[in-house]
Amino acid sequence: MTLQQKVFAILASITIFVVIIGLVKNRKMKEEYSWLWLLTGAVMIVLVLWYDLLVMLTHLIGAVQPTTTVFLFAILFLVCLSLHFAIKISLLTDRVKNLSQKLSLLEAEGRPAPDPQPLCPADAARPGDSPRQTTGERTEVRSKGTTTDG
Amino acid sequence: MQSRRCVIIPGYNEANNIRSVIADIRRYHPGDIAVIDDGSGDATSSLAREAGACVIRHPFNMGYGVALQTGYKYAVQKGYDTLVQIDGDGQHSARFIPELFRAVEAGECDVAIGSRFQAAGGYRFGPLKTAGVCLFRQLIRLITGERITDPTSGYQCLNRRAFGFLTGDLFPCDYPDANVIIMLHRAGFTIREIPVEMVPNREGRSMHRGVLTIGYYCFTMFLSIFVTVLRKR
Repeated sequence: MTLQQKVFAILASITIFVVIIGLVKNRKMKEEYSWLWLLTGAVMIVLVLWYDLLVMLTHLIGAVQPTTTVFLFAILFLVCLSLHFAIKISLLTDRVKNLSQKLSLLEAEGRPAPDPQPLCPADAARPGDSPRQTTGERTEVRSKGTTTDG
Repeated sequence: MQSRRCVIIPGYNEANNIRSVIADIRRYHPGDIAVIDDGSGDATSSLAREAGACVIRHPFNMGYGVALQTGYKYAVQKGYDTLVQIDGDGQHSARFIPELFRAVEAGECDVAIGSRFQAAGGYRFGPLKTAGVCLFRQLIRLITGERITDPTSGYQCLNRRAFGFLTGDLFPCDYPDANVIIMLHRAGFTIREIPVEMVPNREGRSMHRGVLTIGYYCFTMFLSIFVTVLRKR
């Protein structure tokens, strides 16, 4: 590995570190999501400073050029990252679903809801209900039909 | 003692149909009716409320399965003993509601599924949907040994134990069809079919429309059934 390559790789790693730490510090990224990026930066620095390890890894996986090893691990890293995000998104989707259901049920129970009209005809006659706010806003994320084939 | 009954109607943009659907249900079911408005952009909620139904409105559109599960959660919260789920587009004839309730309340089964294919005169799908229905029929038979003729029917009656079970996180919200039948059977619930009449959607809308949608449906359904079978009973 030439000196130029080493300097570039170390600078790239340090940049990743600084940016990630800055994002965590400013609460723009949670610690939970930062560790994979920090680990990548650390691995890059280790491989640059300990080139023999990269050569050993190259032999271990049966690659010819150390650059192949670097690219292979970079792709693996991106796959892991995508998988990590897919898991998190699934979890969040489930939580959003449960929260929305809970909110809808609370509204139906007669708790304050962003709707000026009573939810049930029986609620209209119930005394002591505070007037509800009118927003009229509705966020349509995507349209999913609620019609089956039967 | 009369069991507490409820009819739930998941609906999305059903302003054209919801009043007539509720009026039709009222003729056969004097009890509670709950409409789960899945974030409609039209007057579905207000029309349903005017027609005398309780309305549970999602803050945004989340799909048929989620609306259905909200209905189950509502029924659990309100302490109903049995519920009938019926589509909001007028496909299902409400005159079979008493028969569905009777089958479940008499203890003949935990879940009564309205089958359009067992009704006199039957029902005709296009070739692609017919192939899909036959495939899932066979799959259900292979896995559970049960003979279910209408695995995509959304016209069902469930007892409290069954709809309580479906409020859990394992409920497949994408497309709750054959996978739910298999899940219920594996959990020990008894399922029976009741002949019912259905008509095609008047506006030609359907969840299973177009080659891509049907392809995605089949993929999701196979995956869902596969993981259901992999899970411990």
